[in-house]
Amino acid sequence: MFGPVIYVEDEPDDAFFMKRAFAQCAPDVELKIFTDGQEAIRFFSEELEPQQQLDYKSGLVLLDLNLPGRSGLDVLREIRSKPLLRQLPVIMYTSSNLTVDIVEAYRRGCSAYLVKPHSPERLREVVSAMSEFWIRDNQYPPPLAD
Amino acid sequence: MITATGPAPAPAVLVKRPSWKEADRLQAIASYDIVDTPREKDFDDIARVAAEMLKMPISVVTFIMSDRQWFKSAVGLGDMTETPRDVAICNQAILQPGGLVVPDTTQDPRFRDNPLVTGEPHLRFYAGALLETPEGLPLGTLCVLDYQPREFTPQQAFVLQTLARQVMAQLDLRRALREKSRSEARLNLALDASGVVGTWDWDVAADRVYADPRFAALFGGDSLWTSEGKPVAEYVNAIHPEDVGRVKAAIERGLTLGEPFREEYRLVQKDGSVRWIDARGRCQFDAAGKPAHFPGVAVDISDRKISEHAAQEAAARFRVMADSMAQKIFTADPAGEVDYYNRAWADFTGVPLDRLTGSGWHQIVHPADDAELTRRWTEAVAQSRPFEMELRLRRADGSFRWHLSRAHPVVGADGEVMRWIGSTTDIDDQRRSREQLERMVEERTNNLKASVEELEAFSYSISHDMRAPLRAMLGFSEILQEEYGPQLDDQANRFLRRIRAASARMDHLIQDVLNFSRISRGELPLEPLDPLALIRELIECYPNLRPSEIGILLPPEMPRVLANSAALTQCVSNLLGNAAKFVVADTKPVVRIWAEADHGRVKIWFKDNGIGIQPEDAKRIFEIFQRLDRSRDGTGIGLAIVKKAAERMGGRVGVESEPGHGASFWLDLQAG
Repeated sequence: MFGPVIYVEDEPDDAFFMKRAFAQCAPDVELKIFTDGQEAIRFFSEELEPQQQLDYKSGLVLLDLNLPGRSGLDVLREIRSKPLLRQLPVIMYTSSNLTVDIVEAYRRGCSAYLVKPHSPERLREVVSAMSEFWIRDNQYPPPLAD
Repeated sequence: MITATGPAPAPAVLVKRPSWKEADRLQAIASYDIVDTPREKDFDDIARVAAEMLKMPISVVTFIMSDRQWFKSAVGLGDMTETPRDVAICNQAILQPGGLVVPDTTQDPRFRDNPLVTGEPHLRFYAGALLETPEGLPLGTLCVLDYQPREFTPQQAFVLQTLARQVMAQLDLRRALREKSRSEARLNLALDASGVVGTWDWDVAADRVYADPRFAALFGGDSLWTSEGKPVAEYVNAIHPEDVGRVKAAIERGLTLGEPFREEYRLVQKDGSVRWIDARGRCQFDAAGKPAHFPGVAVDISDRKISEHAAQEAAARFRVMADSMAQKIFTADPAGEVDYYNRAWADFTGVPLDRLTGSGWHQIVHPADDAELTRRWTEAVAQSRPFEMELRLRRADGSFRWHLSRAHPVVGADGEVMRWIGSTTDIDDQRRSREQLERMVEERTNNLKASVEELEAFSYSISHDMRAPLRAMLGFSEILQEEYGPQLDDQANRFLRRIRAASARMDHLIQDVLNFSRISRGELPLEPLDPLALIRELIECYPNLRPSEIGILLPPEMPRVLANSAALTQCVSNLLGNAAKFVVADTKPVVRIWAEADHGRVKIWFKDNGIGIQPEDAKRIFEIFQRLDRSRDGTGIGLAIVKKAAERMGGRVGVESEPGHGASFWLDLQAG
């Protein structure tokens, strides 16, 4: 079971494109969309029980940078502050290709930085690659039985 | 003493050598300047007295010269004035101390063959007393002679000797007078030559001023003034009206109190010109205490007065000029000691000028400027270099105002500094407005910078924000075409394609604006890099630069350049992109790239086979939003980015082109 992909995005159009791309390229993966950083942080801090957090390691987070309220980098820091989520793959997904943004994102511990592609076709390629690498292949082994 | 000798000659006497030298004796005669002068009564009298008193028919005052004897005076010898020396009996006499007496010449072997003895006038007796100088040089004799042998008594010898001394007295007197008149003549000559010194003697009782010609001439007098004398009033009349009162008072004090007279005064000359006289004298009083004589000396000091006057006038003119100036003027001696301040200093500082000279200026200089002023002034004086400094000076009200102080050395003909002249100008208002202006400029520059930064941030964020809806337009039109294309007619599909193309162009434009603003704003650290490697990498990454699309000819190697990798990549990709874009129809674009190194610069050339550029467009194409060819894709930003990037890397960009023969773009960068 691949944990749901959490996508934090305030832009409904981008959310729509992403949903569509997932539906077309990785229909078996659950995509959960939050429209602001606050919501996402609450999800990770309050809704996930420790056991769930452990399970959730198998998931993936896509974070837009420019978000109303808490920015994508704030959300990233929140995630990295939880010991159980420290290993969770977090991909920054944004239209900014500014060096400062890229450097800062990696400094705060993102796993990858992706610039939003222009066309749905290109987005499908990205999603396919993501599901191949981050969701299916690059998973931690299940925890060892005691 | 003349000693009467016996009739027998004394051979021993004959061979006695004189104690003097003949040359000295002749020189002594010459010094009296007597030989060959006319007869004189004084000498004739003595000769006559000798003849009368000694009852001799002949009496002679004779001088023994080198080759003859010459008679200054002779009694009983007719017109005879001289004889050859060898026949002169006196020639023997001068060899005898005191003189010679020959009672009978016919009995004396020295004379018995003498022609004056054997022939006319048949002289038989001779007695001669020496004319002897105080140094003992015999010049000649006073001698008496007779035609018959005689005895000569000691009394007669005494008379003759006494009269001989009278001859010498006459000679000495004449010589002394001559020397006096000579030295007077020399003095007069000197005084005449100098033309400035005159003397006077005022006989007070007779009121006659006897002046020398020079003194008289100064007062416009002629030779009569000198010879006959003039009343003192005549002299006083010539004195300048402004000085005459003072001179009269001084004369009066001299007459009544015996004060030394010393006055400088002006004389008005006949031609109206004025001469300055420095006259000094002192009244001499007789035994009764009455003024007798009032002699003195006067010197013409006009030349000195004129230069003195000129100097005073120049100084006065300088002071008047300096005092009338609002600028603060000062002068200093060669050692840098300030010795003069004009009135403006007192007006400004409220400090009396006499308290400013010397080191008094410390009290008006701002304490913070004092040490620096001393240091710079000392340095300027030591090096004889012009001085300049801005400093604060205290005004009378206690406030400090900025001044510009300058001083220049005045150098004399010998190259030495004679003095310093300085001026100090109140520049407080200028300085204040300058500072205010600087503050304003700085403020405005900061404001402008802030505005520009704001604007750039704004343009960045607006461009950034514009991309999101654009992405949506692109995405939806693409999806629309994908999913509903088959259901739409051709017209609708065409419209969709045009929406997509327009959106893509818009996105491209926004991306370029973002690139341009990023190139303009961000840090661009430079590093040495190999442009050839960078170009090769670029060609591999960009699909539109694949060999199938464009022929790119590279040199085997290129010199390294100092550049920013991202910025240079941007430049090269834009230039190659243009070459690929602006091609002649149905021609495959080909670009040849090479580099030239020269004096620390590297010029990279990109020569294409495209449509080329009109010369008049060559500059314009590097400006933002300049599009020469609307028929082709483009944002008009690509070359502006190249230019901006090149400039930010300390380089330049340019193009050489002929329409129809392609374009050669070049990038000029620092060598790495």
